[in-house]
Amino acid sequence: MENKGTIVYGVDPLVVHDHYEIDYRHSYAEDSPFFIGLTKGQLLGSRCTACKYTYATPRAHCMECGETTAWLELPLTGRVHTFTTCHYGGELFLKETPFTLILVEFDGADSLLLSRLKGVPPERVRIGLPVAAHFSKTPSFKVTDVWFEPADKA
Amino acid sequence: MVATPLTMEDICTMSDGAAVCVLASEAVASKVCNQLVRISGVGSGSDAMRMADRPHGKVILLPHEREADYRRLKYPGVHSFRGGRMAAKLAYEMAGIRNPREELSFIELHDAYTSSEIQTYEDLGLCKYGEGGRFVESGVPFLPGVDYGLELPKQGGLPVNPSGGLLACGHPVGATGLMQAVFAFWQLQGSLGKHLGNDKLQVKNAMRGLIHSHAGTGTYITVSIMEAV
Repeated sequence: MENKGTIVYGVDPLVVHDHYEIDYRHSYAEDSPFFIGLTKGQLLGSRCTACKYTYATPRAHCMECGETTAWLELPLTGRVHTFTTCHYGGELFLKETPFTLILVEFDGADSLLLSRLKGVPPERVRIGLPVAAHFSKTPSFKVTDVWFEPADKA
Repeated sequence: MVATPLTMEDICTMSDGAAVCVLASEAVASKVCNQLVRISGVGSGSDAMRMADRPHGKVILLPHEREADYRRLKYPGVHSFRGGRMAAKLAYEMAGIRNPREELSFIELHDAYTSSEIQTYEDLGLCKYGEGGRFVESGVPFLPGVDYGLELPKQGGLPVNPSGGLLACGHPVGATGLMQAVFAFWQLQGSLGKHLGNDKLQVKNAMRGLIHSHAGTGTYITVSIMEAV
């Protein structure tokens, strides 16, 4: 960087270009099976071993009664519970705007899963739309390894 | 980020601001102030951080509601704030309120978004869940005696946010809830005209008010009842 000089965008106030980068060793701890499941085309939820409350976004402990939960495989199809269209987003997703975020409801699950809906223009998304899970062929162990598309297109 | 169906105008401004309240025992308060206001009810409620974790339970009922009212409602889903309902229920119980729509003079609530005002009408039990839109159209939460240029058959039944709320005042996080307490204090003293320069927004004969504050997305909510002494 020393040889390149400093990029100055303005002087009143002084605005300069700076570089910022960080490496992060990140543990998924007890959530690990969920992310490993995505690489195998599995969508894992969890179910309370005591009260049977079933989480589509897995939790190691039950929020209703505090007991431990067990992993279970969710169906790969569900319905749009609700949705929103994002016209702005983080740097990673900026080039994809406008995009649609949905909360997916599954048969047999009490809570929902937040995910992206692709393959349908925002104005055609509706509550109750049947959707199917799609998985990245080059997974990166992130929640973006799974997304949904309208089920009738699958 | 602005997401549909909201637009910029539906969202309050994050602003600077300050507010202050002095709490004191009745003995001390009556020495330093000749028009006291009493806090007769306080309640708070919380919920899961993640919206996706909240759905599919039973509605927390208020005294004027029945379980049969909500037989097919997936509650709280993403449309309602269970924490707000719990805060209201606890505050009403402490203040002895059976039907908030009938027993309050005004409300100052947390309208960071136009949509959250409608959600809060329902959480506070001013109308049933699902009826917030019609409640606005009825005119109940408007101020009486103000020409809005709208047809409002029940205008002014229970004025909500005579201060203009967060949408008008801004949202200085940390001071916002106290700002509502200050507006409620002035309403209950009947002293709004003195502080704002005219009494256009003064609720006549204000005896009992509710203030409602909200942190996160329905994550932590408080409701307080204030009464003229």
